[in-house]
Amino acid sequence: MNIFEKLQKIDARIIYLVVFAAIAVPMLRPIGLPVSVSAETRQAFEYIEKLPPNSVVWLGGDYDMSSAPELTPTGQAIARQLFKSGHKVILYSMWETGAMLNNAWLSAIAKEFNKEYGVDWVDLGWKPMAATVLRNMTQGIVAAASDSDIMGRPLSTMPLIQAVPQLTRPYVELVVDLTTGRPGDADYLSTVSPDADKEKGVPMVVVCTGISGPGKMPYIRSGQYKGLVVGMSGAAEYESLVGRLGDGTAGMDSQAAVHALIIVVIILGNVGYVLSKKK
Amino acid sequence: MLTPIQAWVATLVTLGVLSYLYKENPVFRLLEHVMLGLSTAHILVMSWHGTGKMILMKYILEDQKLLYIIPVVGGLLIYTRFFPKIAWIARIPMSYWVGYGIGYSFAYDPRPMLGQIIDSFIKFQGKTPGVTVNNILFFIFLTCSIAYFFFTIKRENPLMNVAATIGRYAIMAALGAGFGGTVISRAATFYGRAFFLLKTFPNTVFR
Repeated sequence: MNIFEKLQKIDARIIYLVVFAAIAVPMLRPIGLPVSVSAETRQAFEYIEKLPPNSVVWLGGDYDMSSAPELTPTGQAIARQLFKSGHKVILYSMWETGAMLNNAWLSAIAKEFNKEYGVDWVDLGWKPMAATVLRNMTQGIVAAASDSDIMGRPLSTMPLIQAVPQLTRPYVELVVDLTTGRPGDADYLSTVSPDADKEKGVPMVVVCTGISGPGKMPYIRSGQYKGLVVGMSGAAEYESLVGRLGDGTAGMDSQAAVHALIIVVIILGNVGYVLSKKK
Repeated sequence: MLTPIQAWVATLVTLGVLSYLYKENPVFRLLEHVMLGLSTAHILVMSWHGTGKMILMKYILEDQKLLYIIPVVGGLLIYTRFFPKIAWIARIPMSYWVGYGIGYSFAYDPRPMLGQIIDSFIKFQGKTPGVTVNNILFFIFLTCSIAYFFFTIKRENPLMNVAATIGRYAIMAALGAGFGGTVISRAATFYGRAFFLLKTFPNTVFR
């Protein structure tokens, strides 16, 4: 076996080890690569900045642990921006294994800003047939959510839910959906956004994983999304706009190192393929 | 806040799952089954606390809203599949779900696509030369990508052949962007676990 054939048949376990090293070394010894903010992330930030005072923002937490490194940092940055500006937050998770995860980070941030549960923020948790329940929330939140929050406490007694009877305008000013697939932003788009109801539909900002980023770009262009934050790089961009660097920024050095490594591996594999064909 | 015991459990589980990267092994399989069991139990508990408890205890027993019994019984019929003689009854709630699901998709899913179709009717002239070029490329790649999936006219037609070929390259470029995004996401997931192993675990256990 010559060198070109060997290049195409590198043991995957060696590549995993090198990937781990590419992640670990910059994590332990940060390089501090600069972050440039994309137009889509800036759009999302500015739309939230321009919300009327005391707005209610609906936070969709539609992901689980596997996407948490990409989406949670942006969610945290947005939650800080919202609480800092005095807005109120309603959290709803359509992925059952993500509900407790979202509750953990949002309750920590609410505590940081001395926000009161039931008054400044509420967590509806996860509901069976979550996407269908979402549509029903445009008719009435309490009935659709079976009058229970994430811990089974009655929603009907909470001042925030009393002031926001349904998931429509003018009660809710914006939906920010942290999404990794379906159920997710597509369900909000088809049942809650102005596409579903021109008068009462709620505008959307979407935070998505790197996988789904390219597929969501057309929705920014068409104006169906008011902003789009993609992956961990988007999180780093958002953190720089909010002015509080966090996990997204910390991960950028490692991400850049892994990307460079993957590009090198792809080039090596292809060079090996082309040259072995020539022989 | 993570306790040292939780950190140890999470670390050992993470290493056990990552051991699959070396090769398939009994520890990985055990953890896989534990994960399935835990997530099923989690769904049951969340369903009960988030919906079932309130419907049964408050709506039906306390408020006497007896109509709620109908969907509760309908839902419970799905468990008849555990009894072979009456397993056919489980098809009733299943047929309701399938029918509802299809109707729901037909009613709601096409709406956002209209926004996309309307947005594809663009003027070539943009605010800057760059936008103009972008708009022209958008038009070319959109029509050629559609041509690739247009099977009524045979590819022997030279115009159709060129359009479909350009369309194929446009689709390949989009798939390449998708693959790039996949790599980014997988790296981020791996970063999350590596961060836990190298930072969170030592900071929790040895603080």
